[in-house]
Amino acid sequence: MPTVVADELRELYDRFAGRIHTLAYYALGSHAAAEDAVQSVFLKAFQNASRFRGDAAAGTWLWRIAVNHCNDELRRRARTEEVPLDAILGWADGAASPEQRHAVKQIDQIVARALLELSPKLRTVVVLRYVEEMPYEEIAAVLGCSIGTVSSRLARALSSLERILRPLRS
Amino acid sequence: MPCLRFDLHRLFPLYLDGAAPSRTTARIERHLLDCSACRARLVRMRDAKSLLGELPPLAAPAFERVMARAPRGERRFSFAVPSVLRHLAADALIATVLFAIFTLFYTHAASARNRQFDFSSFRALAVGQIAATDDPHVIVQGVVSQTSGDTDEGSHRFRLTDPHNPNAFVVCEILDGDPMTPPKPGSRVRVWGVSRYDPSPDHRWFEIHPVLRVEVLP
Repeated sequence: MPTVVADELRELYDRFAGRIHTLAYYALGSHAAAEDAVQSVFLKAFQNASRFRGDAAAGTWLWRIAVNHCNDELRRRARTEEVPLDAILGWADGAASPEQRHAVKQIDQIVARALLELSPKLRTVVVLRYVEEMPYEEIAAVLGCSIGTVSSRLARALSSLERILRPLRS
Repeated sequence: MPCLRFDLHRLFPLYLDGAAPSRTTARIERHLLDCSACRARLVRMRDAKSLLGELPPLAAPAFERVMARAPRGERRFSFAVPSVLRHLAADALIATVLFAIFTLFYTHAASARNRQFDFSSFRALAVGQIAATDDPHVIVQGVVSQTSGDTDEGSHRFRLTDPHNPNAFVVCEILDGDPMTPPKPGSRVRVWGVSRYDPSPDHRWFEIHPVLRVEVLP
């Protein structure tokens, strides 16, 4: 690979790898899967280095690879094997021993687990918007849909998350 | 009573994020004045959104470590099957899957639409009578005079005219994501949906929004 291209890709890695790692972690639910995702996405980018121009479109293309990788991965496997959300929220709801309550560590872990209850499509759009803070126009470009569809998916996702997380507020 | 303004519910995230166009913001705010169900819905969405703000971003794994890992090998067993048979089998599999998806999609969409609403309670009106009704659930019959592709919100619009009174019309809107096919210009149709008035300066017309069902008449 010519040095200039390698440098551009390295720059792209520095700009996007953290954000893609974040998306993959919240979409796939584990650090190992998220790191695999980062590797796959950037290997694919390296293999198609000639398509990079270092402009904004390269970022969109990279995000598309990342979203597709997460969706493929979620289709390939069944649900996560970790503790079910209901059990965790049961502890948070006060119906458990002090030891169990102590086991509910951080609210962000509960919210991250609640995300895994959403369908892959809704999960991706929620992470892109509310964790990555990506503008609607960019999400629409990455997902290949209209801004209205992005908002529509977010509406469904927020309603579902609110229902799942309601015990936290009571 | 549950609110049926699905066309607005889907835009609430844009509104909450301050990203809705001014016309959409005005529509939502007018509706919120009268709809306590939607005010509560908006609060619930805002709560969920604020919880999502608790999720911390992650740092990038070290470049060298990620790139030093060997790509995951995907070994596959190969069988001595002629390639033409493999292609035929793959084509047959794709065709079966597409057919199954198509069937499931349409069965689900049709049953969802028919299950959700009791169409027998809808009120049949002439196009010209729509301005005089307070009933949100209406059936209107007429001729499709115009269709427009995607609006800025990704939905499809068509204009329904009374064949006996060409000045009377109602604008019908099929929401983005609804698999319903917009009727062709010139066709006679019967439309079920929610009636409303759109007072924005460039509209000022009565609408059926959303359209819940369209029947093409002979």
